[in-house]
Amino acid sequence: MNEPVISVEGLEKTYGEGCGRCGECTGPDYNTNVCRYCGSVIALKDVSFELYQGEILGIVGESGSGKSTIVQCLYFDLEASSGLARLFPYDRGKANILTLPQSRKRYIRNHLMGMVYQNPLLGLKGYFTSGGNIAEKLLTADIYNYHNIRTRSARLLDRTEVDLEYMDRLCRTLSGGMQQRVQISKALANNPPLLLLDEITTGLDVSVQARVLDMIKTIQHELMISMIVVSHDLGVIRLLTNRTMVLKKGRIVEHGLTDQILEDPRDAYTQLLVHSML
Amino acid sequence: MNVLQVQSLSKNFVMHIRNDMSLCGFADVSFSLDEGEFLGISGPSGIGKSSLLKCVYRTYIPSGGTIMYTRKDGTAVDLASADEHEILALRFSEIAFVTQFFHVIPRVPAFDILMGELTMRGVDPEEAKDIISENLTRLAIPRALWQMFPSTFSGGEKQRLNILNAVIRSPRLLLLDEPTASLDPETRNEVVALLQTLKKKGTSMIGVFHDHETMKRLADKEYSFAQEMEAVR
Repeated sequence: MNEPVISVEGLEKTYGEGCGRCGECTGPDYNTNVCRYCGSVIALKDVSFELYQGEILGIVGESGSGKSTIVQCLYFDLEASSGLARLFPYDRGKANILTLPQSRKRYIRNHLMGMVYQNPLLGLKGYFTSGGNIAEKLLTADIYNYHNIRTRSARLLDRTEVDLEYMDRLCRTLSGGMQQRVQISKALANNPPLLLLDEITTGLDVSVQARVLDMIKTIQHELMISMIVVSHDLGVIRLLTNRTMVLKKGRIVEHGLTDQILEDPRDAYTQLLVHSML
Repeated sequence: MNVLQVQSLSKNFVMHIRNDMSLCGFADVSFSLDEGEFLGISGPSGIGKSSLLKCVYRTYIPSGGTIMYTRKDGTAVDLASADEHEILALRFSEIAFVTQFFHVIPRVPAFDILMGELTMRGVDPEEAKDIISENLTRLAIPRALWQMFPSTFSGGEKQRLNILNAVIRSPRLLLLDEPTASLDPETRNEVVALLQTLKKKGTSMIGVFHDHETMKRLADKEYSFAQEMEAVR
């Protein structure tokens, strides 16, 4: 845990023109994202953090606070308006990955990152089999040998405890919990140094949720992957993460060690969040 | 060798959601701790004993004062102001905390939880198995429970598992928050013996106890909040 995997400085995402005064009338102090002068939505502003090797960083906040926007910008699902993100396994962190050409971004997605969405069918192709989905990811990561793909897919599914009989079933015919596990297998297929997890246990029943959490923790121990975990569930954050950032109206209001955020929150909003916990 | 030097440590809480109400956790605490030494902390409920431990572990951010910790390699760091990654690294390799609550991922067997603690620190799995079996036996946790989930454990069993979770790593500094609160006299003796062994190996400890008898058996010195308060009065 001594080297950063990714460092992000001043990440910003604006919907609309933006007017130069957007920053002074939005954010947690004004309790709005919408600029009073130009009507732009400031989804993210001044988001900076570092993630170290083998570390799990949590992002919490209410709906619409910008949690998912952060990981979507880093995975290039959304285009960041401005900011600097350096991914150290890529070109030793010299490049700003947010401004790379599409082909390079695709390379990073295929080789250096994994993403797990809340909705499994965003990360999977429902009309492909489980094995087919993983094969797709392996092919994009330049593994072409059929036999290798087959055995590696089986191993990946085994690690996420998907019965091998499901390997040749269409994903859309699987249950939600099963789909989520296949999606995690797929995200891990290219051995990414960075894994992004967006509300992955939301909507799963508690028994499946426990399995998924244990799996994530085990995988992290074994492979020392760095992860960003987005969740509104503070229980999930407590069990999985080392450090946590609290987001409100697109800004970081507080960050710290996870146990510190949960037991000694200093920001008013974090206190509200923590003391609302069941 | 000095391991910990706490100087004028204080902790206040400000509750912004209750009209910025301010609460004093504790104030002006100073003590020092040597290698292999046990400091017992005593005082009535609510006087700040647990808060003091949490400040040392940095679950709480101290409001004032310093906590100088000397690492294994002899270098010093102020835990009150150290960088988050620094604290995480120390928690991984040198400092452990037995809290009153044991949060673990549901439906993971007790044995596997302990196994994970050791293997992630590079202990060989076969060796880890022996260490864990030996310690579970020592603290009289029935073999039938080893493959069970901690959620099925009794209060006392959970507490012993929580202690083992920290102790098997042989930390350099161990913080204990009422580690024997819900144990019967016999198992309490076992826990005391286990901590004494660890202490002989050089682990420094700070422990909060309600039960004064147990504390006297372990502690080399005592920090009493009550007396401090009386002195102030």
